[in-house]
Amino acid sequence: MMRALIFGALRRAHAATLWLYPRDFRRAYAQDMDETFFDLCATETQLRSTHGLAASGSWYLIRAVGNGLGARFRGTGRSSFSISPRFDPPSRPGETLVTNLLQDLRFAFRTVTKNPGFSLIVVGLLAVGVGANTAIYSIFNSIYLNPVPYAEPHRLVQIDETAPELNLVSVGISPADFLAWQDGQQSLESIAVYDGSAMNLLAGDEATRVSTMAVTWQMAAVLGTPPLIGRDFTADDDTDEAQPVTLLTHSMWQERFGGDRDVIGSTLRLDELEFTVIGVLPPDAVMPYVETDLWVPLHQTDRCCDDPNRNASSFWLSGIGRIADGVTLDQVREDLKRVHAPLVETLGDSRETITPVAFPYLEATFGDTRPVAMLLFAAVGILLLVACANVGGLLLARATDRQREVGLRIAIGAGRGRIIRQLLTESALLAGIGGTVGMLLGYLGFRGLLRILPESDFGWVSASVDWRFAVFSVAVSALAALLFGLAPAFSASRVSPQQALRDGGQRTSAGPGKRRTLKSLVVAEIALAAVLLVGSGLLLRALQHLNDVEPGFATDRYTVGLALPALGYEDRDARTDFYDAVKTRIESLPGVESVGLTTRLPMEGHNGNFFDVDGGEPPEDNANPVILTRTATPDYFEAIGIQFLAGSAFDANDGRDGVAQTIVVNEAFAQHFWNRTDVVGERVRPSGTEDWLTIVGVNRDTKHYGLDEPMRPGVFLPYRDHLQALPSIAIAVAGPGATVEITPAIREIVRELDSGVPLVRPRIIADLVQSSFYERRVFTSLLGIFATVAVLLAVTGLYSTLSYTVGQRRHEIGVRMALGARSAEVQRAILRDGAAVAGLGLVIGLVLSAFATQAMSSVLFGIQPLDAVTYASVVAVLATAAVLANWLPARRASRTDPTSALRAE
Amino acid sequence: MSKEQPAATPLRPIEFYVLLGLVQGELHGYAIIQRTAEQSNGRVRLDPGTLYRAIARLRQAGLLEEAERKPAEDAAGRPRRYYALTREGRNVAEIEARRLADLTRDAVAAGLLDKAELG
Repeated sequence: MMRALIFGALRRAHAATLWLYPRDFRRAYAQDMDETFFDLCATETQLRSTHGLAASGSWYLIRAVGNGLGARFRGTGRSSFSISPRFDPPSRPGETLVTNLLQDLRFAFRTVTKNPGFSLIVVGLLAVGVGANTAIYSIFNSIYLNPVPYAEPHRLVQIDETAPELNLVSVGISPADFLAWQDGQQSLESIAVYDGSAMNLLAGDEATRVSTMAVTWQMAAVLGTPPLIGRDFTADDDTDEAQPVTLLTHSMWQERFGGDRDVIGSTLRLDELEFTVIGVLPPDAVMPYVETDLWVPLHQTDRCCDDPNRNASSFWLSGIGRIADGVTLDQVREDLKRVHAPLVETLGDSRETITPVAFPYLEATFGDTRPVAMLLFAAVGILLLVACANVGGLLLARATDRQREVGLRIAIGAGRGRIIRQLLTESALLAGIGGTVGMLLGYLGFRGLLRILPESDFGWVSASVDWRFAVFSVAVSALAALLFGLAPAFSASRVSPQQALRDGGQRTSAGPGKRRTLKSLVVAEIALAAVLLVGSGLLLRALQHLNDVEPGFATDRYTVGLALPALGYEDRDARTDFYDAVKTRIESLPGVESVGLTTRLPMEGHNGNFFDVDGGEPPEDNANPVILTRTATPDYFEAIGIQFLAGSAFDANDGRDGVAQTIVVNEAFAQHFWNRTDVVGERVRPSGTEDWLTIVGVNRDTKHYGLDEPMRPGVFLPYRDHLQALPSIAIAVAGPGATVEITPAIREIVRELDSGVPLVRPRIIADLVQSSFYERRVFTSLLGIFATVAVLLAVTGLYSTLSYTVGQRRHEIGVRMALGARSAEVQRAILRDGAAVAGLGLVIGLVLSAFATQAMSSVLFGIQPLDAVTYASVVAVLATAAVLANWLPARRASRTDPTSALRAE
Repeated sequence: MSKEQPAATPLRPIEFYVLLGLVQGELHGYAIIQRTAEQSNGRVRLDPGTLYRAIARLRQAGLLEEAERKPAEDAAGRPRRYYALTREGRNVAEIEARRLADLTRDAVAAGLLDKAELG
């Protein structure tokens, strides 16, 4: 079997080598050679071991390549066996491949330094192409190819639950399901659930808010990141009775404790409880949330876990598991469903629609950014192509200039092979230098990129360039340089010495064929640059479009969060009293016009409930959506600038006894249930509660899930209603004083009331909105930079090609002008020439773009891939650039002095 | 290496072996490779490229030609070409062999080689 494979592969490889032979030779002998090789291999297959066959097969292949190249460049050998075959100069002693190579390199180095301007341009072009590729690939590679610092990341699965009938892709995991899985599943090596949250860390009388992750005890084991020092959680730590313990993340350990090992065993006061530090996580353990400061066992947080009702009906945990050896993802899915099924019966009907799901962790985490990253990757690929085409054009043009030198060398006895090798060595030298500089640029670019990319998404990417790719990039540029170096080398070595020498000291002129090649390269460059320009233009338009989206709230307001510790605020009234006190004091600050409180600011996540509608049946197809549920004070709407379509906010006193009478619904809610917006007076209630709430206002939809996401049905309850527990709250402030400068005053107010309560994320709403598409901005700017560079390269290519051809045609132009052509006519002719090249490139580029940008539609946010504004702008930009690039050479041509041009003959 | 050959030497060793292989009659490419290996006691191992380049040179020089009639034993029915010596080819090979024999005899006479070595 194996041998048959090798046999087949060898034969195909050998057949491929036959293409190296000159055509005449191939026609005469290729079939026979193939037959002969077949027979040879058949014998070898019988005689030899698998290894032996491969070895001798390789030997035959190497010989075949050598013979093919030999036949091509040296001919089949002597064609006559006369007395004096061919004069071969006696080789100098010690002339070997290595000394030849050294000699070539020395000579190449001399040529390269003799023409520093040319060399710098080539090196610069390659460096830009290779550098951009290295930087972007390194990011790409860090994210997708070698992404997370965990052992065998492909074995990690993200576990979640889904409710397609409720139109919910992801509902989270209920503690009941997790507990069942932990005991009953058989497909995972380990499983854990986690929930990102925050706690108040009290040190002295200074309270700070720290990001915590509540995890079940196997979390570190699932991720494969055991503590660096100290010990991991045990099952006993994760119970209600256990002494509170915590694991520090590496960054917290470094920043707050200066990396002191004695921190193990010390205690931290978190939400009024003493937590003992038992270990420090390694720097790698930064997922799923980079900014985490501490891990605590899930049972130590107040939300968990032993109220069976809440356990079963509340879905809020994220899950992760490590697949056991030899188990497939489908088996994991089946296994989770199997364990989940009995719970549906014991815990009730409402769970029927909820099913567990599992995805590859990497896909679930990074799937969203993939299209954009692919786009960038394609963009730098195109950039490299443009750079290579440019280099190719330059080398080709120069080869023409060097025909005389080459002709001379052939005339005094240099072999063609030697000349080709020499020219290739020069290309390789240039490519080597360009590639090295490019790698350096790429490294710096990668470091710079990491600094500007959002830390939450890329903070865990370590700043080490992937040298494999650097090597790959250099190889690509070298290959390009060789390819484009080869064509000139061949054309130069085909020069007949007589011809080259007869032309005397003059530059020989490029033939029409070579000029055509040069122009095709420029056409390709312009076309590729146009594709990049269209792509980045579309993204720019999408970003603009996104900026113009009306969010439905005012973006100039100030917000800050408050988070209460559990201890001392067990009573709801204690919490609302505290919030009320803070609110009243802020209202009296200078420059403050209105202050409102809410449980959830726009863009700050989802909290949902089901709602019943009095006398109304929800439409069949989308039975009962989960309703975004927020609570707010009546003045919140004004403070954040939400407008009412009908009615107004609830009364400030509604809900004083914990049960609200009234409710505000949004436009989407009204449209969903009644197909109209004037629904004031209708009644709704959260599913499972008794009393109906009367709608008093319908608010205009706000963007809650991101500017590029549609709004879903949502409601506001009076904030005193007991539906939400209010452990934390956000304050919105409007008025001329609503700037970040108000923060110290608010901090002072809170400190006076309770020094143990920290402020959370004070900021202006506009920042919150901007941060929701920060990544898109970064990627758009990057693509913009690449497109700009590509256009510059293409225009430079156009300019240099035209200058070159004008220089080449100087004599011809001189003759024309001597015969009476006017300089304006000459100028027009040259301009026409350039415009044809640029125009063709542009047309090809636009057609290519029309196809290529179809793949972008998912990231264009409503902008059509064939957006007319973008295409028109691209045409305008490129056409202008092309005219400029044409104009200088054309003017120079029109100023040709016929006498001097002809005298040079 | 061919490059270092004195200008007067008419045949390269490989060409000589190809001619030698055809002395007994016409052969196709693979058979030439086998025959050469036998005749040289396995010292000469031709690969298809080297062989056919030599064939091309020898044909151009008129020392070799494509055989008109294909021997019957190729029953496999695969179309392949057979090669045969031309009269001139046979002459050149013979002259070369004599030249080599003379050289060898001289080498023995000079005491460089032992006569027994030649078998």
